[in-house]
Amino acid sequence: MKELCNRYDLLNNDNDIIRVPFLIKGTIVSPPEIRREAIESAFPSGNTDRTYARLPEAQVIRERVIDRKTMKYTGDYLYSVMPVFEAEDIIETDTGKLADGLYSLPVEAILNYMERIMDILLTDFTCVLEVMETWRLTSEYPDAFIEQWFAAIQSVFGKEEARQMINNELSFGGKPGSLFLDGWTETDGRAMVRAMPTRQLHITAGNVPEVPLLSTVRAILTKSCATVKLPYGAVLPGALFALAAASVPDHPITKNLSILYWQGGDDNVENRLFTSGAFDRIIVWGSPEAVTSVQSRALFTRVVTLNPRYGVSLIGKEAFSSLDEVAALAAADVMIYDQKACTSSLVHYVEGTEEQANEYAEAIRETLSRWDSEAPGFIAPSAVGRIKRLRRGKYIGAGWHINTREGNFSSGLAVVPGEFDILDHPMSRLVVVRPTPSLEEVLNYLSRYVSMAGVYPEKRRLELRDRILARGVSSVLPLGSCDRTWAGMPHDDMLVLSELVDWKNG
Amino acid sequence: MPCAASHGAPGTRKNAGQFKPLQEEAVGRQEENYRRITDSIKASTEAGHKVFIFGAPYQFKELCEFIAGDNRKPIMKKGSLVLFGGGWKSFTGEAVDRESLANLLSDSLNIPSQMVLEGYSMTEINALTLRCEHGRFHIPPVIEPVIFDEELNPIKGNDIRGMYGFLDLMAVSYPGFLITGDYVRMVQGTCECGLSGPAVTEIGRVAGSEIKGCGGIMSSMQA
Repeated sequence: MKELCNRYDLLNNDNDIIRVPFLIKGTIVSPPEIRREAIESAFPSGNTDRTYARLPEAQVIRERVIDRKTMKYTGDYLYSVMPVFEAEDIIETDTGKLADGLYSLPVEAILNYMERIMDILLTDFTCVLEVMETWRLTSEYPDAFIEQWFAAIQSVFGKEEARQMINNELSFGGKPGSLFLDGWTETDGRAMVRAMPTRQLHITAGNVPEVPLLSTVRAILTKSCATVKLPYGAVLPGALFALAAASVPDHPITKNLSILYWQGGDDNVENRLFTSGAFDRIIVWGSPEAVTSVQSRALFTRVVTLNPRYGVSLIGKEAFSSLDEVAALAAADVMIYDQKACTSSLVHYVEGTEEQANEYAEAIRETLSRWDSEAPGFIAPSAVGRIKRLRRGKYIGAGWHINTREGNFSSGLAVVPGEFDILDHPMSRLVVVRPTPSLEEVLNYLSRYVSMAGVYPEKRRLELRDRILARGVSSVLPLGSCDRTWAGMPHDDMLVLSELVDWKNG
Repeated sequence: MPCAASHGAPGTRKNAGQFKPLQEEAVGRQEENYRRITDSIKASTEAGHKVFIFGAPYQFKELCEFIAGDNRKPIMKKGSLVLFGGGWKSFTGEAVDRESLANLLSDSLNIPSQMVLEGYSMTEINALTLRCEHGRFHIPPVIEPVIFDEELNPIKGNDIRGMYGFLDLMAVSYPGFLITGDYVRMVQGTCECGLSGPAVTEIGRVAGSEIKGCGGIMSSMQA
């Protein structure tokens, strides 16, 4: 991996310009040499919103550099220069070749491949750390989170975790999933069933490395001839994985894997990729616009959507006898992915009066101030503006409990006696506290848009669990443990690997 | 985008159900509506009146398509005027190109191109900002524009981009100090058309919060 980086001058931060390679069906494609003047002139001066430029021979992403001490934009930019490609380059239509090759690989060969990738990443861990340092320059996440994610890279590619995912998510008739992925398996003495791999297009989102990596791992584990579109904000970790895969160049998985970037909504690329027959599955993460755009254009391809959702916390009246302990648990659920994951808690329903809700909010504010000290967060200027609007306008009557850093919002809570439009939420260390006479009344506010509910105390969780789930919520876990994950767990009410294969009778 | 109300969830936006009748009226009875307009144009012209038509771009585009299908171009009295503003997308999300629309309007309604005007305004403002032939929306003196950065701090300069806010001197029954959701480019100086002062040259919407990771919100929803 390091050798590839050195040979082609890849993923090296050269005075805020990085050359980012793509993996296209197993081949590393490097960007051309572009002069700095050409890169900078592609972005109009004075317009900080422009994040992407398409040059004749290259694509360029521009990201704003964040000062890690002040967690504010410095005014500088980091440019990722990437190659261009043709949609046809990544579409595979020779299904016979796939059936005889990639689709026939034994599960053990996939697991060994995963282990090999992990070995490459660990062997070249200095390369991983260099990419982490470059990625850190523009990451909106606290340093502690970034370091934790890169340190946890082993668990993403762990062989046993991968085996567990396959066996759990593709299990059928009480038999482990690996049997069905390996070939025809008898189920009840009469029928033979097989989990047939598919050609997958993964359109990932977000600016954390986990999402594109998890999507890539799912493609690999289902023996897919796959294309993974990296998201703006996480092309570097994705490209790192592409280089690791390219270090095993002759493996059938590598030869059928593409990892690249194009600007979402680019009709030149997407019209071809969304054509019927180009892929068997399209997996789309992300914004409402991305999800609905893909759904409306890929009418004849099965689309698996991982919609944006949010988390809530239900705090029973019992909390007031141990408020400090509850505050620590509740704040932990707020801080999952710095309040930007589908499991992060945005709204806390507190069983009690408005006065008690304010007491609760004050306890959480103190806990969040400790998080602000230990893991200072980046509050985007747009979020700062949005919070100002909330405080001065629509929610002027709320009870505001704010932490500040050098005079600026760093975290806080708003006790809102009436309803709160969730679309107003900035997802930036702001908790909306809603007093409620009883937790049962909160059920009215839960729907499929809510991914996670953390409940306190445990007795109330067990009482309410099934009724919360019946409203469409995916997980109901003890308060403070909403970041719990394990290999092979359901995701958005699905066993995702099962959605990525075709279940065949034969 | 899924309509929150369609899930039957209590606590969803209260006016969501009001959208359907509006859509049925505007989209379902489209031909009937446009025929009424062309009939009115004809009647006004026959009565010797000038005609002033105001609407959103996509509505004018649909009107022109109706006229083309009906094969009867209206003849309007000299001095008649067309003014459009806002709404560059139809109910189905189809974008309308400005130049094509201006040409289409001039041709379909038999009206000189200089009588096809574009304005920029909103419900909360008591003045119309008209676009000159050089592409600038000239802000009238009764409006004091203020451009804000993302953090909602006012910014100054002769060529600036940000959220459009204003102080409306004509607002007497409410505090006319507003920050809109429009993201604009505002310039100062003398325009080639001869007018001077602040003018808006580009108008877009303020981007929504970017989705980070898998967290996010699909639509308006009471919590």
